[in-house]
Amino acid sequence: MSKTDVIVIGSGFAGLMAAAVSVQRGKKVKILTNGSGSFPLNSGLIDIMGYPDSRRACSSPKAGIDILPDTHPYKKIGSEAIAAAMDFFIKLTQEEGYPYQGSLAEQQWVPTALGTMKPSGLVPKSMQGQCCFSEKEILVAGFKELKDYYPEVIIENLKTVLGTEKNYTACVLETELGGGRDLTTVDIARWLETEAGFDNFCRQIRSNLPKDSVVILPPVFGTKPSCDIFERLQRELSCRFVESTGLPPSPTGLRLQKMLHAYLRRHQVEIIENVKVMGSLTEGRRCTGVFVRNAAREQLHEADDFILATGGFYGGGLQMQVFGEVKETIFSVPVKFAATEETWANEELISGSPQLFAKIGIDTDARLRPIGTDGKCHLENVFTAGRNLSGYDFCYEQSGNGVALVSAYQAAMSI
Amino acid sequence: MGMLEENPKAKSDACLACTACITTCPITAATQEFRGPKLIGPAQGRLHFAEDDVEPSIDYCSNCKNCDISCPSGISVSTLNMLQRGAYYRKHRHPLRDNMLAHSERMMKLARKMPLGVFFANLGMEIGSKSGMLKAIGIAGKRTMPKFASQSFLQRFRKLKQTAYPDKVVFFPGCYINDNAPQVGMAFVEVMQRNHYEVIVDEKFVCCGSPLVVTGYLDEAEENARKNTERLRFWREQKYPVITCCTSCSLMLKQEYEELFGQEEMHKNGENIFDSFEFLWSLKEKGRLDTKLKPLAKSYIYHAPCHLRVQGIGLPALELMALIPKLSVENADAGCCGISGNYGLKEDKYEISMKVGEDLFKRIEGSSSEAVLSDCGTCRMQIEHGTTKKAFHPMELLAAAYR
Amino acid sequence: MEKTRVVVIGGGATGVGILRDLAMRGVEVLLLEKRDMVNGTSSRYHGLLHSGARYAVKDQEAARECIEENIILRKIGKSCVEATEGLFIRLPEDDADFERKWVEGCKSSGIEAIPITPQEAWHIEPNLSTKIISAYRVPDAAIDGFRMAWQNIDSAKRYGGRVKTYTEVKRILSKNGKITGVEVEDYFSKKTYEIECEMVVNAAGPWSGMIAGLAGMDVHVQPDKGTLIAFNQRISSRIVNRLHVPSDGDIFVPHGSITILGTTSIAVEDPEDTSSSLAEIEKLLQIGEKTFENLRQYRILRAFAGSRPLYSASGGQGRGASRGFVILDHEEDGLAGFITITGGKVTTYRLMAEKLADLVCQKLQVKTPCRTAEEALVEEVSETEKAKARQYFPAYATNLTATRLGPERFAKVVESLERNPEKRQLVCECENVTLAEVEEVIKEGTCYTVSDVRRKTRMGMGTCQGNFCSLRSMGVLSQCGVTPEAKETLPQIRDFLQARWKGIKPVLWGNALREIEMTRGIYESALNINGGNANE
Repeated sequence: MSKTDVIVIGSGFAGLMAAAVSVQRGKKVKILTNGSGSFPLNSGLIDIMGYPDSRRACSSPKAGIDILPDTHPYKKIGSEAIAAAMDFFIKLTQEEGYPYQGSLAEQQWVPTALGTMKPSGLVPKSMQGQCCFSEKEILVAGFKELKDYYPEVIIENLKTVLGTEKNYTACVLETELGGGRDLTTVDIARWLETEAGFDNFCRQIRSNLPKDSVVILPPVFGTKPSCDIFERLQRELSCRFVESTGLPPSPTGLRLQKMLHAYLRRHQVEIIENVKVMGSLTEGRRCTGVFVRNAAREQLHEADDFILATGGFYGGGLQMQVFGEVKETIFSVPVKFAATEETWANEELISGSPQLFAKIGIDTDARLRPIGTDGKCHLENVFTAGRNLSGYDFCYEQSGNGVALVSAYQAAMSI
Repeated sequence: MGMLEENPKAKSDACLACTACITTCPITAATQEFRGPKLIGPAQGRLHFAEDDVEPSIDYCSNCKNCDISCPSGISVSTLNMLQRGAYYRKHRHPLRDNMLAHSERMMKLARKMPLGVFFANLGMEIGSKSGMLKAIGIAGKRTMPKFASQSFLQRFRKLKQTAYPDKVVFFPGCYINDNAPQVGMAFVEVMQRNHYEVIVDEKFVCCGSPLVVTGYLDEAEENARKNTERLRFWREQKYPVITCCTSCSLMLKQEYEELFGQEEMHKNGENIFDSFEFLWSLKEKGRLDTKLKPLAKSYIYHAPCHLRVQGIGLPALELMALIPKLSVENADAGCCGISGNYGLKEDKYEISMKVGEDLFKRIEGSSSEAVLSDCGTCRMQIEHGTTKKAFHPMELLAAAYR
Repeated sequence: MEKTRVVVIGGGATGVGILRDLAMRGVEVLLLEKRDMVNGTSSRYHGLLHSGARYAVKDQEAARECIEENIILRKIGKSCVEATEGLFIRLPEDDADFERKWVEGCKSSGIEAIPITPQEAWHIEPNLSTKIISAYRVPDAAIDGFRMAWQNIDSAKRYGGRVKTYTEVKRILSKNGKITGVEVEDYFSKKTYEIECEMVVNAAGPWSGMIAGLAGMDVHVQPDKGTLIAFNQRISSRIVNRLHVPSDGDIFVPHGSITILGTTSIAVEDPEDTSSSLAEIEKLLQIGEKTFENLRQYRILRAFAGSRPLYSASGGQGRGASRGFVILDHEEDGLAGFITITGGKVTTYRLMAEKLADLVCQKLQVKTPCRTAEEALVEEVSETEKAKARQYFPAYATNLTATRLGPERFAKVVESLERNPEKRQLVCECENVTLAEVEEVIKEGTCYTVSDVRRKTRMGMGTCQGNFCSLRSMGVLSQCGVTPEAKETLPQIRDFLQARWKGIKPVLWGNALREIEMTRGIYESALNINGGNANE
């Protein structure tokens, strides 16, 4: 394979964003990837900061970021880069016709399949849930064949967040999709992309719809990064729709993935699928190439700069086969393991404090280059972004895609 | 051999039930009948001990490999499905059409032995198609069945006089190129000769087994695999790279043999097997490729076969086409074409196959390209059926650029 | 005021066995369990129905007892026993002399131990260590503790026996040295009330010392904790034992789709202590990988622990203290009507229950003999029933569901599927549990929590450890549940995930860690289970 400017390892959200920013800087980019990343599970929302230090949501992402400790990636990266990264992303989504909205100044609230409201930073139009707070009529729609969504449960739980003075109704729609398998939200999303499905849906909603209501439903407005279905529905039915988050497979995560793929394809980014990056070749303080293992053999890919966006344990960027030994296997970056059997994980899974195992990762300098045990950077052209960074628990904080975005931006800009 | 428990590569233990495979499965998107790769592969795999049962939708998997590509846990979900299918057909009879579709090599070998055999084979196909007989036995009526070439690649190659060179490669034509598209093989020889390589064709090779695997003739496929592995070992020891222009063949030889049948030898042989453009690109990197290419002021659109994408070598044909001056090739990047070997040739899978390829067809029709390039023979067949454009193997283009 | 003749405290194997035996003899009996059934030891061990071979050298009487009960249980409990057969294998480090004694011991205990060659062993169990020197086939079997208890209760109910789960005994009431009743607390409502009775049987396993204490009796029961590991696959289709002096980590038992490796032995203060340490896990793996050399390549689903009730008159510990059972008639200590039964092993639960019931009946002057060995716990679902059911069930689900539920529930589930094909939906895709089944068990009214549903149906026990099915079960429970708890959906799902976490936390590396990242990504991040600002 020919030498390129930048190799991005990993095609999750951080990887794709790192590629997008690099391309904007005029670099020739190649992505090496294994697996879909977290997109099939991902809500597609860009959570910036929800719960910085307790189970109380911060009033705005900025307010939350301000109180973070210096070890947090956001603090290391700095507010200027955070704002620039968000800006970059918003512009990209506008270009691609699936705009996200939001800012550091306020939380965007999105309903969930559990009937809670979740704070997020940048949110696509169809998931903006602010109206749920102000409107009086709330309709929660489920689908008869969809086993992952329970409107009545959602309503009971929404009452504790949105208040009992509203009028809540549940309704159950039918797709008549039939067939041998259980439906997922992706199936329904694909159904809504057909004319027949769209018309059927409209008819059913119309007959159930109280006037001036907000309709909360699973994320079924298609799997393509487009506002078409949402906007058409809003026009035809003059009510406010809000897609909630839900169980995987997640159409909204897939939309984000497709949007980024389309952007990267237009900018001629090469994506090599189904390769596992096994190791690297270095000369002094520079990495000259990485080895991939495909089915038949090992192959070397060369570049001037490398961005490591391989994810955490789930994605395989960090591995722990034996308790106490966390490995980053491509560049053999040392990963500090400062935990004991007692502190590694909290007694409670859904805990009042962050989990130590979630915060473990790669320590970096200000340019997001991994540092060794001596605190110094050993490879000057390797940068890292996303979940494999140390110092934050994205599940607790609700900051996953946000840190991925901001660190990817910073890494790509640091080249 | 070939059962789930004995195959570490296909082991489903690492499955997290994350649903990634479900989202990329084109069959899942096209029909509600298929229960999906996750359920049929790793999930049910854990429950086979419970009873002697069969999943009714097991026949829907097309072995396109998109699930493998998306799995974050490194599981070859499609292999699990194929192993299951093989297990099923050990105890159940194959429908007649599977027999036909799986054994075209055998059929054609016979036909070519008879005078006018090929003519009658083609005529037979045509009559069978028009009369509805093919449909009756389960082969898609709406399709134009691929014509068998009057002279196979082997027959033509035997008559060819090559320039001898010390550098040699072994060409594995595969059934499609041999019987239906010999011009691709001839183009390959031309290209290699131009680059001062002599091409050897080993007549002891048999069908790679891909059509056998997907129709559930797993034991027969293993027999073929053994025979081919023996020859591949021989060529590996001679240090002559084995090259194929068919992406399903290269996938089988490099990767699926080991995943399905799990032998050490198959793993070692993989290192010596190349997709043709993969090999040519490696020549370029070594500075060994003749880059004096004639300009071709044309615009094409390239469709990457799924079986190529899963090999983890990127899209080398696309990279190489970029060396031809004035040539513009865009990447369709529109998913699976839907045929997946002989899957789309089946009557009951035809509609699904065409639905899967819809996005690709639209993309091709909507582009300004004059024709389509793809390294897979059956992909080309599907594209010509589903669009108004003609499809060529990029090797044919490269040979033209060398002339 | 509630009234019965005999109260049995403890919903473990012993308790349900007694419940059934007494009910079958026509005695009015009520079992009280402070949580869900088999909350204690009986669900927290490797589920081995001993052939007795394990005791062949040290304790031939126990061995004989085991093989007799083994044969009986395999006969009466076809739906909760998987007659997998077992192997004893000797490795190079195991004493050859022990093997000789073991063969002798098996013979004199009446246990059929068939010698096979290592080649034959590898043929039937390809994963076994390459270093096996000798191997024997024995009639070990796997028993599902929960299902066994559930079926004992089903059987007891047919004879009028009753069970109250989530009902904790707080006080044992007596007057003039005679039992008059018990005072209990409902776990959910926190209401306390009294139940009048003539006799109280203390079958509380490792808690029996504590329960005896409520009656002012001094019973030395040392809870002895053992940790076990569950693997995500069936590593072998048979039970595999090491042929050596019985010690830690030397038994592998297949259970449905998983394998359990156990166990260890540590004295603990409190039977509620079900923690597992890294050291214990590591120890089990080190020993286990001698039997299956590639053991560490297999994904660990979870670890769990339970306490054996080790009784000693003076207070001994560990493997030295008796694992045989003991019946203490506290009339001799001045409290008539109070009997403690403790110690023992699940394999001999029926025998233990018989002896206890004999004593109770003697005191109540009931002459009906014991029939628990003659009558099956539940009827098996017939092949014709299953053949008919197969048209409605998804693939690979029929057999497992039939054995799980027993014929009556199974028939109802099939009827539901027939009437309404939508009920074929899988609530749990990893373990093939249909909506019809989940609704059926919920309708019975004894499922208060999602975990209760899990125990009855196996949902959430497979690969994804509840990542998907917890939300679905929560939804279904809230729709069909008959108790007020059913509607408390967020606590339900939180508690369920927490229960799963308890088992995953001790093995939090490899794929278990990856699975948890996914769990948190879904529930904490995407679904924000803690809620907006509402959670304080």
